[in-house]
Amino acid sequence: MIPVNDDPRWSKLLVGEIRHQFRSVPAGLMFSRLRRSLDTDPSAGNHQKCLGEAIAFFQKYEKILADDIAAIFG
Amino acid sequence: MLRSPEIVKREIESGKAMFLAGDEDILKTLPRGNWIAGTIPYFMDRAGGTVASDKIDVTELPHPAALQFIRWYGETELAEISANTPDPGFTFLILPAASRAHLEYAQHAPDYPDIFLKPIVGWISGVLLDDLGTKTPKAVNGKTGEFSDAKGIAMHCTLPAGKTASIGIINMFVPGAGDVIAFESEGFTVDECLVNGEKTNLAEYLLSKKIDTQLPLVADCAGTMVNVSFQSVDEKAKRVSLYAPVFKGVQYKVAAPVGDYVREFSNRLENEKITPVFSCNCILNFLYSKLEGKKTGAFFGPITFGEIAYQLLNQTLVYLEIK
Repeated sequence: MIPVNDDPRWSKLLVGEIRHQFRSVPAGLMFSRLRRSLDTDPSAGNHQKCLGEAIAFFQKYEKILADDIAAIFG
Repeated sequence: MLRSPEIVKREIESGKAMFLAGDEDILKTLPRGNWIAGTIPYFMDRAGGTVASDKIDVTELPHPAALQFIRWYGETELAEISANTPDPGFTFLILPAASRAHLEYAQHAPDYPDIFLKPIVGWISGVLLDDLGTKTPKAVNGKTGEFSDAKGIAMHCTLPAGKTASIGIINMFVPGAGDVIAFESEGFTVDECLVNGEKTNLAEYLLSKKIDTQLPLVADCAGTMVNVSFQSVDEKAKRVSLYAPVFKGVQYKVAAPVGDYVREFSNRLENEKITPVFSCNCILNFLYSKLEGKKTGAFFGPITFGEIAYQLLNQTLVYLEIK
């Protein structure tokens, strides 16, 4: 089960403070791209935008991300 | 799976939707129908890696997917591909190697809107290596019979509610123990790079370290290993050409060597339960790991000039499952 949108673990996952090697190919590619975006533009607005994308991805693919979700969020 | 053109013609005439791969001349003999294709004469078949110009590789649109529509994508239209991908569903995309569409997709697909929210799988078409320079790789719209060496062809496919297209990769390469290589600019050709943070000419670095350029650069993208393969190292111009672009802000390493590709491939799959409905592997794996006549499990399909799993990949096996 994925946490609520304002759970601080989302932000930690986004910036790599929670280190996780995704099993899901699109998840790995997307987080890599989001982190590059934050390196280029670390503004709060961009952080929020990237966070929104990450959460939307998990909500959409909760079923196929089951292994990653269990490993990240317990 | 490879089939004779006569059988493929009958299947097209029966109305089946299919993704095809084959030599340009043989694809030209096919009737119009619900298919798209790319040119290539290299395949993973039941008998192992194969070069054939008289057979066609056929992937039938897997049950329970349904064809929604087929369309061309020019370089300026590719950013629309996610928006055009049905949900639930997926898009099967073929881009001709070295076309502007290929270059555009390679450099910009990771930044397309919602690109990782809609499954996009496919490959880069090619030609027999002996024909490089005399023939161009092409994509084919089976609905109209048009061939293009400039545009990509896509089949947008729907899935019933509750079904998901899942794209996976098998990459035998992992980052080696060597230096961290990063880039301050993006693209297919590289002069300068940063080696452990110090500005260095990449060509000089590769030559001085005697690095085996059959091993790609590998980036660990949050668990997904993404390769960038070397095309050539120009000692005189001090320039390196690549088969995929490098990106700013990504840390690369030269890959660790792979011993026996087929053995390591089998070991990797021992505990995996993969039921691919489509797969493709890279021509560089075929060449460097000498895969002609060698089997790679239950993975059948074209051996390609690049692979698409959302974005362009190199030296990687890509597969599609429906879950």
